Amino acid sequence: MEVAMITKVLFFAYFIVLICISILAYMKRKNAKNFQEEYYVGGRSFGPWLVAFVWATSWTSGGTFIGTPSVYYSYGWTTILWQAGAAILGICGMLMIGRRISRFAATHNCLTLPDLFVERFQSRTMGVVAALSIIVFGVAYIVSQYTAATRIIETFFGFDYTTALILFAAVTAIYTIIGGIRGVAYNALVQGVIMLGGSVIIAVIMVREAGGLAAITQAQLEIDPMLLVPPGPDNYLPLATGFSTFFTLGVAVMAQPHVITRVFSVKDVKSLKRAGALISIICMIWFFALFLSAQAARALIPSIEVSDQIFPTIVLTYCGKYLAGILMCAPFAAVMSTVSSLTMVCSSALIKDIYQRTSKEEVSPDKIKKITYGVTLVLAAVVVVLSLNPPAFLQDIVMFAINGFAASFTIPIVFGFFWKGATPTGGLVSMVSGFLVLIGLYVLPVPTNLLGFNPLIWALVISSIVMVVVSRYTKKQKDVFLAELFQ
Amino acid sequence: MDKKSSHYELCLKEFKICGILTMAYILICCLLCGIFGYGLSGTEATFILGIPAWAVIGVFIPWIIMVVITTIYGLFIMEGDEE
Repeated sequence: MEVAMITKVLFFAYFIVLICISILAYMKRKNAKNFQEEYYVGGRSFGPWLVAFVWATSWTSGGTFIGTPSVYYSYGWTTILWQAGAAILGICGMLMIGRRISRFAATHNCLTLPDLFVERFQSRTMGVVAALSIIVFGVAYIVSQYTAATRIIETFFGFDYTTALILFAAVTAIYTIIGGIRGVAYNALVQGVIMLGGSVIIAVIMVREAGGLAAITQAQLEIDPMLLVPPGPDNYLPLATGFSTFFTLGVAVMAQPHVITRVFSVKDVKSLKRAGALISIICMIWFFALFLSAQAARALIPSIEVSDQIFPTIVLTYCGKYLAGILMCAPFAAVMSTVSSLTMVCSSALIKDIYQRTSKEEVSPDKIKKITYGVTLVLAAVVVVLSLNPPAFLQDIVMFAINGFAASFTIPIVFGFFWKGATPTGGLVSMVSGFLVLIGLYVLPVPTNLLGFNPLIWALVISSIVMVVVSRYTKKQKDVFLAELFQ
Repeated sequence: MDKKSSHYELCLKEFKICGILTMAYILICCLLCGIFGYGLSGTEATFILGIPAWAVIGVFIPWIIMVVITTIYGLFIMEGDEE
């Protein structure tokens, strides 16, 4: 597809803006007394708008603007049920556990999710196991995002895959390293506004182009009547699977390390409450707009060779060259915000949760700073190398990573902070068992969606049972510690 | 009542309220979609403002209500602004 020069210029200008914002963030953070607290959690000083946008943009990745419209386009109206878990993102990710987690993290100086487990369960082993899970799933997730972004750059600038990959990696690494989480957050605010505005504009244009909602559904009826009713074409979403997606795309958010650590950066409860409300509203607008755009796209473009290209196709076809340049930043913004959050989480897992925790000597603040920058750079380089031969089925990798995090961490978080009876051994074994059940259902010769339910549901059930049973028969922590935490 | 015990009890209360709201939302959506959507053939679909009726009743309306509840709860009901 031919892309106008002005479209490319506007798209390229977006990179420049990101780097400038990161430099601004660097100027603000460079004199911070505690480097790591500032670098990873912004000194716990973020207000509601920053928290809401960095949270929401960390959760929504390239999949939201590329893979998800592809699903909406291909399977029709049943996919709004598939997406309906987004209504509970604000309540599950922020309001349900936010006060408890943010207060605990602040009083125990937690900067990462593994820190949370180490401090709650007084178990270094849990911290290291959690850090290793984060690195494995996180790197896989980042590789899928790098690949998605690289393909967008390939389309837009006509670069070959390797050049596009290095360009993307360089921009993301620069703004993540320079700005830290503050840079990520400021950029997330800009990116979030682009994503919000962009998705609404595209929806309005597309629905108008298609002649309104009634015309859209009439056209879909003629293409395939199953586009209008569940379970959708090819029995896409049986009800049991639909029930499961409320957990995979809703409840699972509370255990995503790159999202829950945003709760650590909240400055006060008032900001947390407002952020929860904002997240709900932002996500509703995003997903409604993208969904309606995709339904209109199906009416206007009844078939497309590669459904993943539906979003770039409708932007370039229907939005004019000026608007297209800005709107194509939206999926890019979604990818970059998730990549930068995940990069921060993986770098902190390596440095704080593995290196510092296992090092026998105290490491000086200056050395920590240098190591942090170095590791973040090396991590970006490793991901570039892995992305040179990109895996197929990117969206499957994203879902696997999300489920992996949720299967491993949800039960230790929920039981750990709301049940006094949870023991360190119970926490560790439930973490590992959740992970193993998920892997087992994917790898073993049994139906992955056992009885129609996503593997995550089974992982959560087994992990919960294991937590309760193992905790009952293993050593509890000291009464003084538990009394302070649960009084 | 000392401050720390009220903090944990408050967090636990919030967890329970949010948990109940979440499960109620999930079950209501699944129930309404099951009743009004599953089992229909596409040619039997009815529409509200051009949108399949099962989607309006089973997803869009519950979703909007959930967002309103979250906003009201978060902005006006949750306690502890001074923390």
